[in-house]
Amino acid sequence: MIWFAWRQQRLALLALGGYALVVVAVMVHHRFTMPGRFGDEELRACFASLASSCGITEDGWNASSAIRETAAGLRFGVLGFVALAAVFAGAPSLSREWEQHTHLLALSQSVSPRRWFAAKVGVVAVPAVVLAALLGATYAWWTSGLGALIGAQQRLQTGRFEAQPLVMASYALFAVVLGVVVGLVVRRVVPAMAVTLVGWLGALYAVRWYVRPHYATPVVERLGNGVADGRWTLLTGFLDRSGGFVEQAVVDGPLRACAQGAGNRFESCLAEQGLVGRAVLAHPADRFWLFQGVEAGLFAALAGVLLLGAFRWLHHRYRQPISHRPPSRGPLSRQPVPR
Amino acid sequence: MSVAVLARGLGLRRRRGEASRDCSFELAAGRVAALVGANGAGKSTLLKVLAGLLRPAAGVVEVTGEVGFVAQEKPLYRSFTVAETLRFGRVANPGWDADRADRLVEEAGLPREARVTRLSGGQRARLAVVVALARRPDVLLLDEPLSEMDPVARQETLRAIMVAVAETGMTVVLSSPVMGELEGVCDHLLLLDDGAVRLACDVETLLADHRIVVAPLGADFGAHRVVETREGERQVTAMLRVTPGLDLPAGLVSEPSLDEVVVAHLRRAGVAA
Repeated sequence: MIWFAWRQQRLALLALGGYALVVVAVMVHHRFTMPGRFGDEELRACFASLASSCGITEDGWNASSAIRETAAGLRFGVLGFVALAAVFAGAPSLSREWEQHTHLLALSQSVSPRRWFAAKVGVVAVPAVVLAALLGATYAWWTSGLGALIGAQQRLQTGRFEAQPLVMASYALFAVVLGVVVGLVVRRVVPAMAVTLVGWLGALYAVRWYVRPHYATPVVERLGNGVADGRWTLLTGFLDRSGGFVEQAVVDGPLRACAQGAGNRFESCLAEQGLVGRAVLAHPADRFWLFQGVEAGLFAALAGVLLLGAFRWLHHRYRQPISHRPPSRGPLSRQPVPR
Repeated sequence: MSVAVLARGLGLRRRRGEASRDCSFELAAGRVAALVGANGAGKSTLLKVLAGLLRPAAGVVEVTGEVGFVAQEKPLYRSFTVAETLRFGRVANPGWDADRADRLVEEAGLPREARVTRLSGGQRARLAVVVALARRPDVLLLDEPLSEMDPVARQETLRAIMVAVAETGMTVVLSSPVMGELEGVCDHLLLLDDGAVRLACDVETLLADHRIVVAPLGADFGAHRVVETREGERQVTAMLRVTPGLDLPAGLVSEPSLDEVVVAHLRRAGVAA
């Protein structure tokens, strides 16, 4: 059955493999050529933190901006793989069978619908997960080689978080399974592709905006003069005297009014409002692996739910009527009764 | 003789309205049954229900053993070659008979390396039947298998099916819009009308039971059931289902062909509907 599933989807799978390899090759190329654009001293001193104190030259600064832009583009390419796999390998997998009526052929063979479904899912999901993890790992390896120069410390922040290997693997699993299951429901190739794309992007952005901030309780961090250390900032605002967090918007009006008064300094205005200083509500950088784990688990669980639902539906819907059962006897052969 | 296919109170889903529940019949193992009916009578629906591809709206279906099915569309993977299609049959069926498959493909003159898209409609239908036969089902359901074939291919396909029946004792249900080509092949008839089985019987019994009588206008046919009458200027031609033990009315009595019996019943169903 694996041969059969592969034979049906080999074009899409080969194209996806080719795409992934090209993106990987570009990242490997950058990994080896980009350090050459910085001086040894810059590389050493600015690796940990990109501040004026690390002695970066203007050229170095420009180069680091350029590669951060390159990295942003490649992150798009890395994450785009998931959408491509879902749309071009996941969604057509079953919708094409229904569109061309070949499900009538496949489902009337001896092989059980569940084995058929498992082969069809596996042959798409396994390569998609492996390639997604490879892309994520290559991205992580590439950025780790340039440290702060490429913004590697900010990996918990939205946008960079999604290009990491662990979540990439679970995204690919979820998106491909979503595509296959949507195909089972929609049963037309092009609509299934569209629904899959919308569904995958909807799930990703819903989790990014509404779910991921709640994986752990955010902490209040007072802003000092130091450089941002890779935390994921949810809200900016102020620290009050009792150690609580006050959102910027809440005190914005009074602060503005106070600052416009003659001779008032910002600090005294803060004190007037009972505030100690600027602060953020954020997830510290060391929660990276926790968040990766929770997010990967979440999407894997969603994929599991979809698979289970599809399995149960197929089993219920396409059971052979009643096989190998001793036939009951009786005068059931009705003659027509003309009326 | 054991029962291979049984339907009881089967409701075939209709496009609108209530599902009729009066599709009941049973078919003994080893029979070759023709499933006839007008377009939209529910032939394809019934076959899909028997194949387990469609849930009936009501009732019970029992099919004993492995079920082979060729849908009306003759679905095959278009990008596969003939050889790959056979390989698909092999991996999807533990009981695949590779020798029979090869023999049938050769007999049909199907080029093994040709893609399915390149085959003609008739060739595709033959390949679909080959795949169904080579998996050696106990019950084979064929939805208008001959419709796109030329006369020679029809003969060869029917012969291949009959050989398989003789070898394995499989039960076959063939649907067809016309009876002619199935005469001499089928020993059982299922006549479907509006989702209900109107006739389910032996072809021999059916032929023995029916007579065409030409009698003067206004003749009384007594207790015989009148299937259909056609009135001329002076006389009436009637298809009668003869009640045993009663004399036939005086007139010109002849034995109908199976085709005539089926057409008369189909027309009667059409009038009733």
